[in-house]
Amino acid sequence: MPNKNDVEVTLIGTGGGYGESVVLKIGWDKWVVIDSCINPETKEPLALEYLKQVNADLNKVVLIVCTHWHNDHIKGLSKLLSKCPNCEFHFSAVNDLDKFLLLCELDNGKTLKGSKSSTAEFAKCLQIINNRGSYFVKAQSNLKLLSIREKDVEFELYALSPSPKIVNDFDGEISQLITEFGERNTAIINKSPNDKSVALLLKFREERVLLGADLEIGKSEHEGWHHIIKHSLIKDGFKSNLYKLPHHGSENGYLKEIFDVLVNDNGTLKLTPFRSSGLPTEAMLRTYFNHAEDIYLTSSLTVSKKSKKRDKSIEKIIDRSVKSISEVKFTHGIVRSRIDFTKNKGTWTTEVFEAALKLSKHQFS
Amino acid sequence: MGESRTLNSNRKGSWVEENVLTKSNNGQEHLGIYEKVIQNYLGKVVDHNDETKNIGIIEDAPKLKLEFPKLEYSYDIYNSKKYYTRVQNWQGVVTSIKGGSFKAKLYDLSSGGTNEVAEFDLKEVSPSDKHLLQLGSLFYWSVGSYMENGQMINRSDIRFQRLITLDADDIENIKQSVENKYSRLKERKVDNYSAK
Repeated sequence: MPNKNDVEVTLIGTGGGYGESVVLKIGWDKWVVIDSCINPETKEPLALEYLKQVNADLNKVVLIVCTHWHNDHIKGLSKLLSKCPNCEFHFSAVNDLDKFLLLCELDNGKTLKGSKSSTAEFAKCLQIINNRGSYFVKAQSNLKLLSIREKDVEFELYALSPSPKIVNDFDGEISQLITEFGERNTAIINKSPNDKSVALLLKFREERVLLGADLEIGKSEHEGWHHIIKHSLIKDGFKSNLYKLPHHGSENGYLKEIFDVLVNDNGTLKLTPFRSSGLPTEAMLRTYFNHAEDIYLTSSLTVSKKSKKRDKSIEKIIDRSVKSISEVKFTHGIVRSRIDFTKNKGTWTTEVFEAALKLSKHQFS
Repeated sequence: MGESRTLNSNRKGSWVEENVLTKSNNGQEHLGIYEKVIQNYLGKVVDHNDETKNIGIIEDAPKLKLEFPKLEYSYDIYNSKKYYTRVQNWQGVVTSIKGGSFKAKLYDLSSGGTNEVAEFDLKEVSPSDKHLLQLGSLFYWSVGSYMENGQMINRSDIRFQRLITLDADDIENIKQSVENKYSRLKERKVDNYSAK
């Protein structure tokens, strides 16, 4: 259990693309969970496992944020939500929620059991909120999602994205998907939910924590990180000492201006690798090392090409039937940072657990 | 009289068909055959296309002398049928299609746990399913070995999910159910940022 005076920012992530989740402790005893991923063996949300491990009171989870509805960020979210009776549910804004829910239901109905569908998981979350009578919030740029005052310290959590243009564009996309839906034989493929990701900024005292979700830089100043740098009202001259890198450290999540405007050089950088997609690349790690001495990863960068162990005769048939097959190995790690918020100029202490590790700049020079 | 047969309902979407008699060779399973004969003579009519389905009882069933089939005879029927000994099933989602192959993410339906990624040759897809292959398509992949006429044969099957086509009425019904299902949703409006 963290000290009462600690603010905590914990990145829980897997290696093979099973996802990531961020747990925040704010003030004396309030908790916020951003996104969810599961252990594929136990099906348990990793954030829930972590909260139990640190003896957090689930009644004090005040907010759960769904940054976007990709499987690696949403799996297990409904289970987590059901265990936290007093939380609000915030998610990436859609103009017409009824229309989006219609799309979710259509997708769910067309996907066997709905089990592989992230839209089904999202619909389950809203069903819980509906049945419980608690609030939801559509998160988008320049909105204050949470405000808590403890003694003389104010904690504020802001959404930096999605931009108004992205929210409006998505409205059109939903209509088109519904129109096409009757004839389709596939699950919904929304090719770009990353641009709808909710990047978040936590403020208290002079501290800032930037949580990049999977937000990409965008194609114009009206999208993604370009929009934040150019148009966000939240920037106030203070830079973050802690930065959860967007989109697994991918090239399309990097913008030098983020470090010019929002993040201190030599701050603490954290990321969740997505090894099966080759993220992050060595080149991108080198780029990020231009801004920091260390980068914390939730798991190593090695990629296993091994296939699952099965009965030999089955393995033989498999080998004859595919060009290649490999198991997406599950490993998970925790990168936890804490700071005493009662001190005016505190220092973040970062620890790693399980498969998590710290990479240093000299390893890449 | 045929052998007792079940479709394995735990393996959804699978072509797998198991003969319950194949699981062991002890005498208990042979008794199962005799019990079935007795049931038939006692007046239960069995649908021979689906012997697991009892379609009714004849009230005035004739009382016949029971004649048990010879065990060897049962074996002959049984050995001439296909039955599967080992199987593995997945649900897959197509993630990319390039050249003569496609890649997919595989969810293990047989033992759960971790996922897999695989690349398949397009030749693995049957001609009747080719038009269903597109980005995001769902399919089932089953591999296994089965016995036919005493020969062990290996098999790999990819079958793409065929989904119903929704018409305007279907969509209208779903729309109505959405309205009912989420009628109590409450949105909290939050403040825009205001500089202090």
